[in-house]
Amino acid sequence: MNTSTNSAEIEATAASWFAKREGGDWNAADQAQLEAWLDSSTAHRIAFVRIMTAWERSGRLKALGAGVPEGTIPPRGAWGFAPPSKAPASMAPREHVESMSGPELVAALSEAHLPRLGASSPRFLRLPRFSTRMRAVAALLIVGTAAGTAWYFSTSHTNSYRTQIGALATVPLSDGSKVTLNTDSQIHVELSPALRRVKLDQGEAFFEVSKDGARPFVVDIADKRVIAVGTQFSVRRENDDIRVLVTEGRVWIERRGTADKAAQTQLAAGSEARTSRTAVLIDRPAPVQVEQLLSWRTGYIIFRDTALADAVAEFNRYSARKIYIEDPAIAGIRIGGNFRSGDADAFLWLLHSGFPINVEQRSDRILLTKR
Amino acid sequence: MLTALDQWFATEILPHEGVLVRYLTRVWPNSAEVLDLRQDIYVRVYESARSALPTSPKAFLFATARNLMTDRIRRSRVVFIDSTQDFESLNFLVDEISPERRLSARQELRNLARAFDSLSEKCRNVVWLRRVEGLSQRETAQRLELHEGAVESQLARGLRVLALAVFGSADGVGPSHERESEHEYKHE
Repeated sequence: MNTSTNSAEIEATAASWFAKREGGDWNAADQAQLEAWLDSSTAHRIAFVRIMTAWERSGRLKALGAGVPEGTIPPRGAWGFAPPSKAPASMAPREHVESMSGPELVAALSEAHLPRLGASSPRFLRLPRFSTRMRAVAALLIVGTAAGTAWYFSTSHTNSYRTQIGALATVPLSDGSKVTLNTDSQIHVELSPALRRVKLDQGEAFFEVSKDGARPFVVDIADKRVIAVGTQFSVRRENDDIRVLVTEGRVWIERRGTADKAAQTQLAAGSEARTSRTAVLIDRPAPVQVEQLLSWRTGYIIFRDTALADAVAEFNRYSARKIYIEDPAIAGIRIGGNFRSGDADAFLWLLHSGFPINVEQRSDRILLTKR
Repeated sequence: MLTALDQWFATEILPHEGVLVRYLTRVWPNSAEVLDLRQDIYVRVYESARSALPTSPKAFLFATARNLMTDRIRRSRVVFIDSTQDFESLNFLVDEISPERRLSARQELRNLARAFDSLSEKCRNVVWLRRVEGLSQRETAQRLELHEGAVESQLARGLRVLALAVFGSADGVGPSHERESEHEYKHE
């Protein structure tokens, strides 16, 4: 057998398995067959891991979809990248780009190549910077209420809520629970007689769940599920991973679609869990850290001995006009303090007056350099 | 379903694929065997990591590559005129010629976009709807008026090309569609 086709064949088979698994009609027999294939050779396993990782990483392509109307597939080369030979030398350092979200990233990359945006889709709504928190709160959008006038009689209905960048909103649910949404977040709420289900599409939310033993309250994030009965906890989504902090009662975290009870992670009050793909790390933060982690609910960001790069990333969550550290030498400066999350100016003024840092204000961005 | 070892492999070894493949292409006389070599190197690294994880994954990967090539040359009955060189002597070249470059988010997106654009029309549409818009296989099939099986096989095909962009082209040279099947690693 020609060995080089062999490795190509293995790769093709791995990709087919993966596509089949993602396809929808996946059952236990398929799973058993796949596992047998994976176990029969290390080369098989590696090829599958490689394709699976490529799929995860290719999620970055979603940035290309920002600003494109749903159902429209843009033409080739519509992205406005410089040709490969002439890549701009002045690329923003990695951490800066990473902190940008989809629309801003694409806006930064492409000038006018994307199709004009229609006003019909909520994905395009980008409000100007908010001057006051009240306006920001008012900008909470109720994206859609399904089932229309029949909702009162229906057994189940879905409501979607979304906050813009810089906004903070509290959403009372009909079961008596309350959800507080942080900046740039979106949830779908579905309350049925058997289950209370919230899907967290993006961002961060704090849940105060009213007790109802017969009707679990679940939060779904990608392939993960957080289950509560009556408790208080926050969930922050970062790509497909989550950070869960419990302040009262307890919750369970599991991967959706697994019936395996052993795969559940139990999280008690005062604990924080972070997931990384399939792994879960549990920590018991000190009370000051808990306060820091939840301070956003009152409109504040608290830093304690925080690296400037992390502080900037945190601030950037709340503003469409992003701050960039242009000089790595200052990225590690430690800072502390309490700031209003919408008040980047106070933060910048402090940086300028208290540290050897220059603040350059541009119309679309703010640059920090070493003085 | 990934084991801890799989995770380790994905985060510590796969990111060096681009550098590794360019290195293999440079030193191995038969470029048609590069994909196969890469596979064997991966298998060796993975199997050794079962007993103990190397402290420096990148150095270990390249040491494994050199050992494997040396073994093959020794076992081979064919003598390649070009390959009489000692692979150890190429040691220093690895870092010098291809310094490790962690792709910035922007570069990675650009590589992905280029690979995405190199896909056939059908394949490109499938990848867009499945990965960017997040439609299910069934919805994608309905939208594009394809059979579900076709959506599945196009996705598998697209993924292989995207994988090259993700791991294999740190210098921004994405695989072009035409070259995909036969000459995957003949980067200019």
